Amino acid sequence: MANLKRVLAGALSLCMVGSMLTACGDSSSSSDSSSKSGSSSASGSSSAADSSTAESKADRQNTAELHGKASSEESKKTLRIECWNTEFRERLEKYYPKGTKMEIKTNEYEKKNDDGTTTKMTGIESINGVKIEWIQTANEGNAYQTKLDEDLKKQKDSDNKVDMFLIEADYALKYINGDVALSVQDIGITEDDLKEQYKYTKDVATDTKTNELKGVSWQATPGLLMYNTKYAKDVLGTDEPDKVQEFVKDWDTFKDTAKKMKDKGIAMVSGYDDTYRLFSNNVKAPWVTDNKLTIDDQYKAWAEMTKEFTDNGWNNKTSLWDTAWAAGQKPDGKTFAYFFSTWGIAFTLEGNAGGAGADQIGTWAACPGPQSYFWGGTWICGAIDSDNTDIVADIMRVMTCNKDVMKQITEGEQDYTNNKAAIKELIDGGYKSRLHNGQNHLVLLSENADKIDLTNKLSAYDQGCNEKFQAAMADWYKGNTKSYDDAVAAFKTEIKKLYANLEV
Amino acid sequence: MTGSLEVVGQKTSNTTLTIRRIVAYVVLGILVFISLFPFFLLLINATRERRQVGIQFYPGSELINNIKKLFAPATAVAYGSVYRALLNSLIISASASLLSVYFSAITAYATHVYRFKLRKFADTFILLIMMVPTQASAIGFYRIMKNWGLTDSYIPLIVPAIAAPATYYFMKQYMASSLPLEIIEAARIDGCGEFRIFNSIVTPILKPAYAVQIIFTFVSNWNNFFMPRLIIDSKDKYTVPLVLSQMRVAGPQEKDNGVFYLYMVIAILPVVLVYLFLSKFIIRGIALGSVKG
Amino acid sequence: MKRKSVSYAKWGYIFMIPFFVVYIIFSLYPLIQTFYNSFLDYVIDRGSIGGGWGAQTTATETIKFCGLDNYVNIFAKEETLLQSFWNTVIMWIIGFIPQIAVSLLLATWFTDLRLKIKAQGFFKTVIYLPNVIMASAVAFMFTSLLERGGSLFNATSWMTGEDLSILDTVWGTRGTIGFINFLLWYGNTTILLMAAIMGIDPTLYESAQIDGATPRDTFWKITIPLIRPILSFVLVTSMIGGLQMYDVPALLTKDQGNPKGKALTIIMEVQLRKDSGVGKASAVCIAIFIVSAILGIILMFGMNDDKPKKKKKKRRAA
Repeated sequence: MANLKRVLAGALSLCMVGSMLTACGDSSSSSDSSSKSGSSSASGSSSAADSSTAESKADRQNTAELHGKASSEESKKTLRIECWNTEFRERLEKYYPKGTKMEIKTNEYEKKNDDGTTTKMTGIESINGVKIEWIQTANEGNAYQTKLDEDLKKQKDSDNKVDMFLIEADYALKYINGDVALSVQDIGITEDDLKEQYKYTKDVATDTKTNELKGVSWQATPGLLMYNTKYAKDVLGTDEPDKVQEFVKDWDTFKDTAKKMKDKGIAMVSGYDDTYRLFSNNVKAPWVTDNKLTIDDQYKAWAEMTKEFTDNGWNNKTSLWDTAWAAGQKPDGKTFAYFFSTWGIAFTLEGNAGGAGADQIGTWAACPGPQSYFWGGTWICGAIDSDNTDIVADIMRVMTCNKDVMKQITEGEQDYTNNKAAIKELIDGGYKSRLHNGQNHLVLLSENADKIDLTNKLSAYDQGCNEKFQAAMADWYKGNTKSYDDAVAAFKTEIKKLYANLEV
Repeated sequence: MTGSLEVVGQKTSNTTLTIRRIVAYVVLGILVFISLFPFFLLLINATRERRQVGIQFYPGSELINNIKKLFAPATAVAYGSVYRALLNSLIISASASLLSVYFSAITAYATHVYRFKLRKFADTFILLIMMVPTQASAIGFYRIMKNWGLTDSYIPLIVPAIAAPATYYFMKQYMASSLPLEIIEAARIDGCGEFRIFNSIVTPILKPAYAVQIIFTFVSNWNNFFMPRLIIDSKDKYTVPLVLSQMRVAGPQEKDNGVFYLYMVIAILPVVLVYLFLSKFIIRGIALGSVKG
Repeated sequence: MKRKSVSYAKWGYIFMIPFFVVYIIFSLYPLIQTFYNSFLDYVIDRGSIGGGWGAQTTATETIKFCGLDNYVNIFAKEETLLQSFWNTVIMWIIGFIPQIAVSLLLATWFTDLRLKIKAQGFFKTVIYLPNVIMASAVAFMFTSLLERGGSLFNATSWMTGEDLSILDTVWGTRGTIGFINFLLWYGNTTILLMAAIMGIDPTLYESAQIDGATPRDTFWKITIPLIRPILSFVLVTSMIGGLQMYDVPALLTKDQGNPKGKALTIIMEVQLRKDSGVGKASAVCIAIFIVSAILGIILMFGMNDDKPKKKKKKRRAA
């Protein structure tokens, strides 16, 4: 035991000496970064997406000039793109060559399909002699953002530059308000190029301090209410989208309809989170302003309505994506309505309603629902100090501004593309979907997309805030938390863990 | 009189013994059921369609389709490639267990055979750090690895295995019981160098202990979720449990539980087979590792 | 001969170099770093990427020395850290009590000379088997069975009193986690205890039986006292393992530790905080270290104290 004591004493003194040493080393290196930031203030309330209002050019960092270390020859010959899945890659490989004047060198590879067959895919090896390199990092557990942050922070001192990266709306502002994304105007995208894009897609990618647009998207993701036509006919006496809309046109009628559905043993919505986006897209202020958390009345309204729905048995108590939630989308799933945005219809509803090939998606039809909203989407950003800005600009122009290409994407991929003119042409051309009676739901989507306004509604912390708010409220619905106020207190505690710099 | 009493006593004790035996077998039967049921469910559900999984007692007809789906590129895109994950886990687990066993054994050998000043200190120190949870230094570990640019690489998952206090301790126990110092003396007289003595004379004697520890370290690395999750970012570097946790994550794509069950079967199959073949060995190993603890 | 053995001493040091170098780099240094960070008010702004390109330099980190504040704050009223500590302890107990009870029972049966359990090899193999499944797979399976729409949902949801999965309730979640831990570890503990019991001199049992002792008597008066060292080993290692509980609850509750944070373990707490509140998370790590170290030292002292007792008893018995 004497030995043990000696070991302990030794270990303790070692620790202390060690910590003193590290203390000296670290404090000197960290002192320059210890000033507090007041970055993500969303003070500018003037209309977004108008980058000409940016004042002194001297202060601007997101220009196409080089700020850091010069890049290597190899970096100039490589277009490095950071992404988390292959969606954009597949779009780019398929549609970019159709709209660009750049010289494309393709390569062929075989993609094996689920059923064992193979499809010949044509990939892009290089654009104007610049090789494409995809850096794919999984989205889960924040891995993508961690990796992206690291690479972008290194960008200045590295001679191997990232050229392009993809982001999602829930955390877009982190990158858009930071000095890491190029202003698209600085690399040659004009107002005219952007005029057919939906306003909200520009709101998401506009720097709230300088009003510069720093990212563009090829898709818009407005959402609709999808309803089971069989139950509509049984309970409401009609399955016509216009008439069904009358039963769900605002939240009060929505609740009345829920009562009627309940009487027939059908849940109005599947679970707790289905209506969330409708409320969160209509808030007055973002989750976080000047590092301070605010809970908008819309969130409270959503929580209280969902509690009412749960207590009255108007929903099936499911959580988003779980087995029971998916099961409700079967033609006899005992659930009347789901809220899906563009991609959800093709990506989720179709599979859950009966699997590809089956015609059961025809049980479902769409109407605008109580409020307009969007859900999801991917934005393309040019990385600051990119050494291939001409190609970045060309990709942005072809993939997000070229009407013909956009039209082809909608026709080929069921994406709802971010180009009003292209969508209008498709509507006028008599587009038919696989929904009930081949409903042309593009009309509804485009109406809803026009109505979405995200000015001063976003913060860089939305992802965590949305997740934690839903989780905390779920405990209230399930009876684990006594009241809304208790649930809010729990939510604030969680936010403090996730974002320790915020005032809650 | 006394004789008959004795017989009666014998009888009651025989009946109680029988009752005890019955109780024992019933309890054991229940435990066997509980222990095997998860495996049974995994196997059965791996053969079933996504909407027919659950507590089921007969196999479905979807095994071939599930296999096709599991190894389809679409699955790889969504969750990470299964082949890669198996290969990655194999690389990490195999190298970590080999390194761990060799270097921990040589360290144990040092304190077992040589008499030097810090011998006692080293021995007690290692025993003490055996109690320190890896997670206690996880934050520092992660940040240091990040500073050194070692995140998203296998080095932080493999190299630290060299210093495995538990393996050291096991080896030490084993040497105390089965490595007579006379052998080493004899080898020295024959003119062997110290390294050669360890590598070609001591190592063969330690083979059973090596085997047990290699299996233990292999299994714990194969199943490890915490460290790979902390360190690995890229999908093509994912290990088996990371791909599994990806499948667990909710997402818009159709979830196919049949395929996931099949994946779990494949994920645990290697260790289960090794365990079943070597179970006697392993069970003896568990006991050996701690009795004198 | 003597001179020779002195000259070999350097080999002792040489052979230990890899172990200690790796330990210092990958364990001790991180531990010291964590220790140092635990005295800092070290906060990272996750909503800002920073980058420091010049005019708009934005800082993403604030670092201030704050002494013991982080440690004091662990006990603050609005903090969930103590709650998480208790969650961990409770879930450990839920798993440990049946584990030690069942293991003791099985170990006694397997070693009972009169009971003569057959097929012991088979039983031992089977009960240890769950230990080799990855915890992630077990957690995955339990969730898919118990969640809404899973095939045990109807069979278990009555326990919640309303139409909910037992994983939506605090005790259902804790119980499931405890049960999984029991399932994974009871085989291992049984084998450890058996080895200890088999180390007991069989003549002790024989003479006890001749004296008319019942199995219960021999269990409490011979087995338990004599396997005390191994019991405390099992207890302490299980406690230290329990403190680090992560895989099962993290996967079962999708990292959230819900319902109501009552299934959040202390390591999950660290994981949630490590990207933003670095200082506080480090303090929690050090607290875990201290608790484990104390447990470890208790174990070492305990075992050393046990040795003479064991000898005394043996002598007395002989």
